[in-house]
Amino acid sequence: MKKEMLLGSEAIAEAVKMAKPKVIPAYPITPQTHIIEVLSEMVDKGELKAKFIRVESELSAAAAALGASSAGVRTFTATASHGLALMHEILHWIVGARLPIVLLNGNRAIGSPWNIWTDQTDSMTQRDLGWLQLYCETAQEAFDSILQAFYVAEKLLLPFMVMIDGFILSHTLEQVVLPSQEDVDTFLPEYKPEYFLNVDNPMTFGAAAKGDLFYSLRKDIQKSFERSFDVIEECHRKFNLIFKRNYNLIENILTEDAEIVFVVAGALTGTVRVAVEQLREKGIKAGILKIRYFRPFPKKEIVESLKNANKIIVLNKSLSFGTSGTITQELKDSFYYSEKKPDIYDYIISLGGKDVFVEDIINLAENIDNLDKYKILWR
Amino acid sequence: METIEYQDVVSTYDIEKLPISITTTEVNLTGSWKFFKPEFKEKISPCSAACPSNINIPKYIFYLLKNDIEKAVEILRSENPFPATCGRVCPHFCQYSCNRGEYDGEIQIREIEKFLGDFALNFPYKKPEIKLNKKVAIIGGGPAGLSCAYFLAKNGVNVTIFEKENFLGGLLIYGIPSYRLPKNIVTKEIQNILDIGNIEVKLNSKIDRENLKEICNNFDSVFVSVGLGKTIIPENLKIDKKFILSGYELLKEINLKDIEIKGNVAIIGGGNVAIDVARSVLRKGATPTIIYRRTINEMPAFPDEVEEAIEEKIKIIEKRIIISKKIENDEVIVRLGEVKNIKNGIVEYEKTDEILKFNKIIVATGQDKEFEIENSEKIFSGGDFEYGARTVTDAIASGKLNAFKIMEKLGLESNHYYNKDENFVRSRKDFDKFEIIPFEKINLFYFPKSESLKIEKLSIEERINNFKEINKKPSLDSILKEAKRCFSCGVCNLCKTCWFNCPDICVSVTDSVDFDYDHCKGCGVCSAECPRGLIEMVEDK
Repeated sequence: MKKEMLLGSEAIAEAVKMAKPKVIPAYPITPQTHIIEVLSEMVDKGELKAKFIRVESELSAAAAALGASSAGVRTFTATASHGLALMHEILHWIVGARLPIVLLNGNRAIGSPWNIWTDQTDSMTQRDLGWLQLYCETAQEAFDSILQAFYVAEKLLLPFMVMIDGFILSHTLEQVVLPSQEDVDTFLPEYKPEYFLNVDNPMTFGAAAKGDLFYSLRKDIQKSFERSFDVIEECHRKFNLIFKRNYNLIENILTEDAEIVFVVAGALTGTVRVAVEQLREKGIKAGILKIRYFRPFPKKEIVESLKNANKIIVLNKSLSFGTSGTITQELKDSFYYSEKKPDIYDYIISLGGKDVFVEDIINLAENIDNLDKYKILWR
Repeated sequence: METIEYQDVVSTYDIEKLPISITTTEVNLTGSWKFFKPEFKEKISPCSAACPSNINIPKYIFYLLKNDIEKAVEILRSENPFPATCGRVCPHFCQYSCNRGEYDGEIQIREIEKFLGDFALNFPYKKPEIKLNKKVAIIGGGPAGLSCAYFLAKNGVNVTIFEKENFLGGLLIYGIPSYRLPKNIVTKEIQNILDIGNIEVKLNSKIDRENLKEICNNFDSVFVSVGLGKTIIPENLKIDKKFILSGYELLKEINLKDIEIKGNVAIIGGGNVAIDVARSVLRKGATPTIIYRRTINEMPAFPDEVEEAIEEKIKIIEKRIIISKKIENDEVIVRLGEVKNIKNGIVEYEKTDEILKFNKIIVATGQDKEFEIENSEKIFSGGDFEYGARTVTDAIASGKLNAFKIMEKLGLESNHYYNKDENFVRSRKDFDKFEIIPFEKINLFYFPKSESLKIEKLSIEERINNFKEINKKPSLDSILKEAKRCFSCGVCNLCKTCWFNCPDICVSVTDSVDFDYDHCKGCGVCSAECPRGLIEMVEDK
């Protein structure tokens, strides 16, 4: 174990290296380019024994990942924004084919107009694919989540998308604890699927299926998502045992006695942590519900942890036009069968990298009585 | 759409079904979707069409690259029994039409042929399995006659060769200097032909119009290939025999008797014989001067021979003729005229003050037939006797063609292919469609540019005082490297590009290319990708 100052992107590349994927097909796009640059250097130097495929587009990157994973090897790719959108068709196919590919998405707005800064529109619009989705707050969490993603994906035969905020995480230095390769190998043994493309044992993969069969295969995917909570818990337990860092589906920060709870996903949590500290000093009982797993969406855990909160402010960095902020929707859905229904404020805190300051969060809490819970709230 | 019956695979994962089945998708007969289907058709390479012997050049290159030299030799010699000879003296018509020529330099086919030909010297032919009750007489044992004898004997016909000299080979022996064609090569190739059997040789048997009739009565067919034996000395040059000779006569003297020639020698003419004479007398220690009535560029001799003569500093006087001569002190003194115009063989000239002295004058302006033959169904003719002075390869090809014509006439099975319009003859049909592949049909994506083989020669100093073969033998590596450059136009070399590119796994390549029409959707990728224009898309009815 050692500690190093690393860029978020470098930390992720280190994690991928330690996970020992056999194939990395990737296409550069801001803000994730650093990750695959570092990985390609690692492959070049022989530190990572993998095939790095320099493809001509993200569509090809996804397709090559699909092929590699079908051939039964651990596969990683990274992308962002328009690149993720371009992968869309293949991302569906990967789910249907039950391939545990891990993808790192550097959250970035999607044009027009042109914008390279962070928001969560790119990944939130991919929420219905059937990929597991997880948002990271820190570089350390990103490092850890990559290892966990392979673990969970390969247990469930489902693909896993790990999100970091572009630039805020990818391009900033942070102290990261790097485990030993031995520990990583213990946590994440070699991926050995039962069935894979093999000329010595030919089988048909993803051939045309009529409605009945197709329907049942889709039902199986949902069943796996339902089962995923157990697998994720098992993953976190094992991870904590080996690496001594505890993770959950969500993270509760001072929610136990909080009257106002901010719901947030990603690196913005750090800003909110400072704001909540200052609010507490001012006597306002504020807390944070940090969403790590967005898919599966941990409804039960969320409702349980918000049982004492009366007012919930959802800090969205993406929006489903015509209805509400994306996280708000999911949150409201979670409370439908709950006896207690807190006020939920649907706040669009940032899009396209609009800066968020601690004061913005404090102001929100202080002026909560003036907020309209029936409307989308804008700054 | 047909769907497959999913036969479940059992998973230890907590998943009921995987989208994987142990049955195959072959039940989907996607072949029914197609409107066009690929058809594999071997065609004709331009080199092969240009070769008078129509040798399947890409095919023997294919076997050479497969390291099956015996098979390569078999293909080569199935069209021409003189590969070692032609590899040296053929003017390589093949190379002028090589598709690679307009890309990055033609394949040095002649060098490859020479390499295989030399190899073949030690390979005996297979003995014919049949012996037919037919007799054919061949008059003249030069390249045309020997080639005819070879193709007949191979097919079981009894052949008798009548040769006026006391050796076989004709011009190959006494006409072509050894620095171009070593005699032992020719002798060995001839011996290999004779070893096939079925061939009787009668040396010192001069045949003329009179005794030809007798031969006609004793044989089922007769092939006349006596070449052009008659020397023509123009009237104005007729002087004492001591000073004047024909080019043929002189070459024969040098090649057979190793005579001495010294002093200044004038050579009249611009054909191959003129060049051969000039270079031969140079090697004998004399000083040759070629006098030609047109320009160097208009010389009918092979361009590389002319180039080599110039390299050897042989003096060529262009646009001149001898207009007067006299003999003084054992020398011929000539005055030259400058040619102004040549129309219908009549030369218009102006007298000049150029006066030259020579010890000998050699006339190399062409030969003529010694006799004419009567029209007879039994008599066939070929070689220079039939066509006038042409190349060795043309003579060999005419021997082949006439062998097949004779067999046809005698009602014998020969399996050969003959396209009269294209003057194309192969000993058997080894292609599917007579189409000469143009450059445009080559998929250049598969052929990065590369340099063609450079042929090493003896230096000028090393060669001008002896009759050593000028062209050096290239290394095996350089021959193989050159062979690899071959586009193999229209001839499959099992490169598997079609197989590799087929998105539906519908192409199989074994010793030929086959399509799975039940599943081929007719996308045409194989056809578009084939590097050498073999796969055609045809309407699927």
